[in-house]
Amino acid sequence: MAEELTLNDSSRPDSGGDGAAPVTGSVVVDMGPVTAFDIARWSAALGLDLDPPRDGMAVPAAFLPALACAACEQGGLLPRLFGAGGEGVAPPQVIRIRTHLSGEIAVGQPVRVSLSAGPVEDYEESAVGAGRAVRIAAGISGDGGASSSIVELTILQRNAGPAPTGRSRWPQPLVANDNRFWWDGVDRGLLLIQRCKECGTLRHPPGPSCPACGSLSWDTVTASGRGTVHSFTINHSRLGDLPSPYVVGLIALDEGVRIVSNIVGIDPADVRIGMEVEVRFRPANSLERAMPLFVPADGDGILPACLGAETGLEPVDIELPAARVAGAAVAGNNLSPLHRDPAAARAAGYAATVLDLASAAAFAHDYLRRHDPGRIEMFEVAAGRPVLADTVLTIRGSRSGAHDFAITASTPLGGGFEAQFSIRDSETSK
Amino acid sequence: MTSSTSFPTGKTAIVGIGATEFSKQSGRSELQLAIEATQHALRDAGLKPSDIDGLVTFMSDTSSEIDVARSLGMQGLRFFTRTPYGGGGTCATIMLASLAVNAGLADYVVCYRAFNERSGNRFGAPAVPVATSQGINMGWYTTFGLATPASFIAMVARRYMHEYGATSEDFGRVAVACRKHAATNPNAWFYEKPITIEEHQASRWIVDPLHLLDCCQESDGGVAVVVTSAERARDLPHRPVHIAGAAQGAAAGQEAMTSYARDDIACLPEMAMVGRQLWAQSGMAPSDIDCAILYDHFTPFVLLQLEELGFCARGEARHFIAGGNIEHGGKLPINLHGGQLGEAYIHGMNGLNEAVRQIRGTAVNQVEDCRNVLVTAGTGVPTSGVVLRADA
Repeated sequence: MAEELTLNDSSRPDSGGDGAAPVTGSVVVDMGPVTAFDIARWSAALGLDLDPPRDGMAVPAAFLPALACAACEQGGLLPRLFGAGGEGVAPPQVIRIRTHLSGEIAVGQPVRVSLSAGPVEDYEESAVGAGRAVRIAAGISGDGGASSSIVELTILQRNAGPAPTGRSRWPQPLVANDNRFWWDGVDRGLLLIQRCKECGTLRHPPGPSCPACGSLSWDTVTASGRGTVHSFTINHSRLGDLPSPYVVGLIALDEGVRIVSNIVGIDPADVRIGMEVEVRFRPANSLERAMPLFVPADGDGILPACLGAETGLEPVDIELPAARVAGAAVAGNNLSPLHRDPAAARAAGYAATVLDLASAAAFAHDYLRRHDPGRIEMFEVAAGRPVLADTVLTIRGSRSGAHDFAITASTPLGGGFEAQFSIRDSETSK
Repeated sequence: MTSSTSFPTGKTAIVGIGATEFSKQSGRSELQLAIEATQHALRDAGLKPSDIDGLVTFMSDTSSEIDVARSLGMQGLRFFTRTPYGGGGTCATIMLASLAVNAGLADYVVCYRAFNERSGNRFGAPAVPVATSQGINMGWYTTFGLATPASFIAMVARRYMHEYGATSEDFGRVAVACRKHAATNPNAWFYEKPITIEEHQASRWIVDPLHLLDCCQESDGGVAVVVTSAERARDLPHRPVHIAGAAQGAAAGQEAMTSYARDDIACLPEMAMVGRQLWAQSGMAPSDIDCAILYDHFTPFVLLQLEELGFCARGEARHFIAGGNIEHGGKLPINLHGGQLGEAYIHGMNGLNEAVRQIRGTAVNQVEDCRNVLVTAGTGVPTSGVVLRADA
């Protein structure tokens, strides 16, 4: 089906070429029509909440990444870019998808995909691992190719070895019996204070018994989230997403207990003892728990963009048995053994088969549609640590701007991905 | 809260001190440092390894008592135990040794501490919570980037400045005094390297309000001390340094360096507890002390200790230390070996050695006719202290 294939390979690493252009390639693939059957099978395999597909309706935006991946497969691009693979490297996998939507493709209409690959370059260690990676732009157009959506894929050929363990940028608390209720509260956007059921004394940090009366029975009250700075430090080192130096405050909550947390959204030089602050919640992501942070009460009350928005959406859990992981990949025309063959996944360093990122994008898309049916202009999905089969994927989202949503997905084993959606005609931004 | 105390005042003594060189890279194991320090202390005391029947070290020490004993050919231990909370246990090692000797549980006890804190495991690195009650508690702070000893103490220091008007220059005067003393101590890492208050102010921020020069150095090295009864001490080579008092303190609402839920955080009530016990045990008052070794991991807590121990009133330490009062020749010279800011950071054990030298009259920055010395352990954490004296 490859109509045209060019590959500039004049500067392969072993050719000794100096300053020549690195390996790039382009190919045009005629995919034939996307049928209602294709969409229905894919939707059913993923368990998506879609209207029944029929000829003439638009191919769902969430299907486009799968279409781009399928075109790479049919165009035979990856073996030309990465070589035959084998020992020392894992099978190539998609680690980032960025989709710009333009026009629509009708179900039943022939589809043409123009692929152009950038150079294969070294890819430094990250949550997904290290190796060599290539960026491929897929222009997807319907009949005649008048308007096309663009799907940009980053594909990594990871160096062989155990899958990356991943590392959170923020230190994570150890959550156990005595503090679990508090972090669960944070997950729900609540700042809880432990209260003795016998004498009513509030206490923080929490503990099993009341220092005032010894009672072991307790419940919680929800803090107003307002307080004053009792003391603070300006730390000249790095913490998570925060600019350095960052501020750690000892905050006297209005309810009477004190809590240590970061004070953000203010120049550290302007922080003062006695200043009034209010809590905000930084959303969780695939590696890090949600966290309470404080902003000046007299400011705009908005968390810095790097910390995400505080308007959380209801999370959903998706069961991911191995059959669903395999079925989703295959229905999206992704035949990589990483997603369907446990032995191949183990050989590549994964404990089980891995959810493919096009399917991950579809889950994120499906989640978003339940909250905002506005027209999507762009969405981007980035892999974190691998989402392994036989686990539960929890998807959380929050509004990160008037037209933007941030979505994070995580598994109990630390796998996950992050997604951003930009929406035109957003329901809630009208 | 401190009431009666039946500490065996004057009945036990320090009879030997020893240390390795202080460096940034010892090039040998922590066990070897512990052994060398112990050997030096035994030679100083005129004792053989076979005389030793008790060993005390810190819970955080990596060289176990039995490894030290076996390596040195000791012939059996009757008493071996450890002190908790890092540098807060320094003087508690002496307390335990003294109590054991007085009770007849051991005749000669060596207290030791040895580590490659600079070239090996550095305590200034951010803490990683572990699954203990203390580790879980630490998570309330580390999660928000308050994860190093400097940062824990900076929170208290800021509040102290706010309440009492102390300034960064006031903290700096502690560093200047210790570096002045180190400058004339050939064993100090900062020998011949005094600093000025301007250099203190110009040093980079670690955790505002703490500059680099508010933080003690990091060191490799080992220190040991030998304790026995006052009676046996009379037969040994050196003038005995009697233990007049030794006490521990963990106050209400105590956490390990983060006791921020207390109503007042600009204080060290655990050190006040230690002080009250020490004065009661020894029958002394602050005015009887000829010089002091005040734990100087971070300068602000030297000011707080002076207040908690009764050398001056709450909030008055900045006036107390002004005009060279804590320097050699001043009203209360402190850390005449250079302290941990100037000599070495060996969890305060090198300060015990200095206290012994002052009473023996063999220190490089000797206080004339020095008879009574106070030594304190790490602060912010549950802590300890001793009062040593020439007289039995």
